[in-house]
Amino acid sequence: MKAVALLGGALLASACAPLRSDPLPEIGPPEYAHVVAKRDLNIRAGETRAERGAWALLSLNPAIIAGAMVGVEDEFGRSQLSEYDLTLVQGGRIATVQSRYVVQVGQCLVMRRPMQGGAVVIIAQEETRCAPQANAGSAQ
Amino acid sequence: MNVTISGVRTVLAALALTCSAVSLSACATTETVANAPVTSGATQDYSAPYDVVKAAALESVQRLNVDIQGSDETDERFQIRFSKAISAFSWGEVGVVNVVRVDDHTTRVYVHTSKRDQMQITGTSERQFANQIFANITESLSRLQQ
Repeated sequence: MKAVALLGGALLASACAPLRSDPLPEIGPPEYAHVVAKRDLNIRAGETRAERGAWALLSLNPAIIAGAMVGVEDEFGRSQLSEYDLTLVQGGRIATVQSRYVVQVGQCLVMRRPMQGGAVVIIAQEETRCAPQANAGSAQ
Repeated sequence: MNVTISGVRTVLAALALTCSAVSLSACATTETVANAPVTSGATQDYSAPYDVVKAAALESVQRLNVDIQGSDETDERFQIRFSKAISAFSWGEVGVVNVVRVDDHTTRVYVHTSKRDQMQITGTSERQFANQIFANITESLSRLQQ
């Protein structure tokens, strides 16, 4: 009986998910670029309908179970982001990145790539920052 | 007093249906918080340009154990929508971060969240989300502005 109680307690503890934050990821040096193309992506992410249904079953409430299974909020299983094609000011190379930062085609930006996985950091810039002479001393 | 079994069953069924309807109507969705006024929730000002705070806010939410559902920008604000998954003690939460330009050097950030089941007392509160997000933005800004 004690073992069952301990197992139940352990399961509940592992299922408890307090808010937590990962450490600030390391990012590389600034790279200036122009946006040449933008595509909107809609990907599968987050919780699945089956996961929601499993938790809903525990409620023993038929309305909640039905709501979870028919996908009252299927948006919880989708994620939207943008894919940008960039032309780097230094070297003129093309780079493709995915981000939820909003920039327009033709806009100048600075990009900081993650050193070990994670999301690229993008910040919109004034056009003068993408002038070749403005980056002459910051070759990557 | 003449109470029949079928009469009791009818009352219980009606009660169960009413409770189910109430519990469903008390559910918050991402649209609930996304469509709320931009100024809803906890707020904090940052002495940094709007475009930089946008990036810091995004990085801040990406570090949390939440699912980012999307982002968009209007003339009024840049908005990040997120949800925190269902767990043993919570039906999860939904939230938005709104980034608003005050002037060229000041940007205001609003954090507005809601529990999916508004009748639950467990889960992460708006204040807890806001404190963590504001702290993360401060940390990101100090690095991005070096």
